[in-house]
Amino acid sequence: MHQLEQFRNFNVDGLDIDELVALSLFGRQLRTEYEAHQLEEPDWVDIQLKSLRREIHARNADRLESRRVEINARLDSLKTPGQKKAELLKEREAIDKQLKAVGA
Amino acid sequence: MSIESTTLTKNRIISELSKSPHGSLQEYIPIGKQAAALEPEFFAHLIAWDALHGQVRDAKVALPLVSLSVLAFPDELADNSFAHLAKLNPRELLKAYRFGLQLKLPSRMRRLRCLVSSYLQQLESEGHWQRVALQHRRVLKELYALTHTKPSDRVDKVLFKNDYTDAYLFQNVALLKTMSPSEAAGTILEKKIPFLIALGALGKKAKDPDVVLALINRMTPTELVTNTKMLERLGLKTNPALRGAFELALSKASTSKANVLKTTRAAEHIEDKELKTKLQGLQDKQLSSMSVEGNWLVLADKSGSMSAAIEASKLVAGTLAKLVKGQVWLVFFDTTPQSIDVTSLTLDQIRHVTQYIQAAGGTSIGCGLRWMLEMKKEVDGIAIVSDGCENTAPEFWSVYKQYSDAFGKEVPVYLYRFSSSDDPAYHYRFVTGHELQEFDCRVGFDYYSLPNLVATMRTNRYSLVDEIMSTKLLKLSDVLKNTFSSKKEVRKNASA
Repeated sequence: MHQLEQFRNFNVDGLDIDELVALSLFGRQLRTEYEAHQLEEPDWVDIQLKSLRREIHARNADRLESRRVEINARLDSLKTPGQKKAELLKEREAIDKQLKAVGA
Repeated sequence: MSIESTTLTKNRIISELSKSPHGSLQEYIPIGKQAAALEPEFFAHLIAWDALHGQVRDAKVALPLVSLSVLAFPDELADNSFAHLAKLNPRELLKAYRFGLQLKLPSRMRRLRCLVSSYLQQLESEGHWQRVALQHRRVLKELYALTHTKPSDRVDKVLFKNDYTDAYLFQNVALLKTMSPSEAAGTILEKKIPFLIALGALGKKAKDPDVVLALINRMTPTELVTNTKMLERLGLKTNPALRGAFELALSKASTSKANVLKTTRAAEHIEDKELKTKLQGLQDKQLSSMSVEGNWLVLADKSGSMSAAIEASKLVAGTLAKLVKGQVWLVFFDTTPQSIDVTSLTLDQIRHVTQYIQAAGGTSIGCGLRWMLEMKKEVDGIAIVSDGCENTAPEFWSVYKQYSDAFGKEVPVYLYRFSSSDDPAYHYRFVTGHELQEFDCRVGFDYYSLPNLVATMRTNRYSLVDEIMSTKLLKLSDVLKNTFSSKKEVRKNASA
């Protein structure tokens, strides 16, 4: 009963990703059980499942984005002086081109 | 002579030494000295137990030193005290050394000085010296100076001459300011630069999202919760990458047992609802990892005499109720009980439901327990948050007898004693001749030491003493490779 209460009243902000996944699994089992007994599924099952799914997707996207930024930052810190020099030269070239275009 | 009890039992030693306020090592001296003299073996085991389970860092510094300040404390047990000092981080060790100077340890000060020298030498020989020095530079300098320890050439260059030619970590920190934000973030992550050091070295660059992400990654659980407000200002809610990093950091922090009530305080100061809920969720996970076994009754006094301490007692009662596993009934009483089943409620929910409770009426602690008896609710322990000045029937101890007869067991009783305007004679009458453990919260009670007190509550009266006595003592030789008894030996080893 405790898990059912939690499923009906959860607040996504207070839960971590593991708890969200566990609740989502519970909700899907609940839905299957309603179908198996040919009972009409209450509206809140669908609403809660949708909000759980949305939150899990959003958190996963955030996690991936965070990891991507972290990897880029780490790659930047591992660059050799030669690589940094090449990048600066490339940037200067681009600026020169822009300056020419504006007629300076 | 005060009418209050002065007998020093093992349980009293535990309760007195678990509640001291932050930053005041002096508080440990009176009871600590008595305990070390009367119960030396127990005190040595208590030092070992506190090092493993204690929440207040000051106790880890003060208890070993107080034991060393007692001449009658046996040398073989003193070795355990020295070993626990050698396990402290440099900042705590400096605090301990200064406290030792203050206590003027008779015949043991020289050994303490040698211990610090050996500690510094061992640190120098370890691979992570630079990392420790980066975080504790000022403290290490002070320790070298205070104990007249000669640093190695490498250490001397970094600490005293600001020459970082051979110290790559110090070089990296110095360069953070000139790097691009992404590179600075990468360096912080790659070199694992501590949050506070990086923050100090970055200047305005610390506001860049890439850098904020790296800082979140390097925060300790306590730093994370105490800096959430700052992170909110730096775009935590709007930047997906920062949100992801924050979620990950929160899940890591949920297993931390360090200063859990700081999360409570941090959550109170956050205005944003979403972040507040996140911190409250974290706080609940942290609390559940350190709870007390069994079903408990928390009897909280709301009588008129408690008016000065009602807010504190509500806070303690609510926190106590949350820290207990099993089923918990929180019963507020004056001359009639008002019960709340707080099982599985969050701390914030408990505080919300108790917000309108006002102090008024007489004091009958027994009425709260009678309610439990009439409802046939069985508990394994009772915690009373009160001044203990019971002046109205039914009296607690007579109901306690009926309760014990009804359920066939005598459950342990703990009193969190708060100050009140009532005659202390009532309190004396309440505690005399009965087995209860008292935590004195009247003066200088530190909210952050509450988990320390709760951690000492047991459903069996003597199990904690047994648990403490079974904690293994440490040997200094297990902690420090080279232990010297004189400065001469330390110097000889350094030159070798």
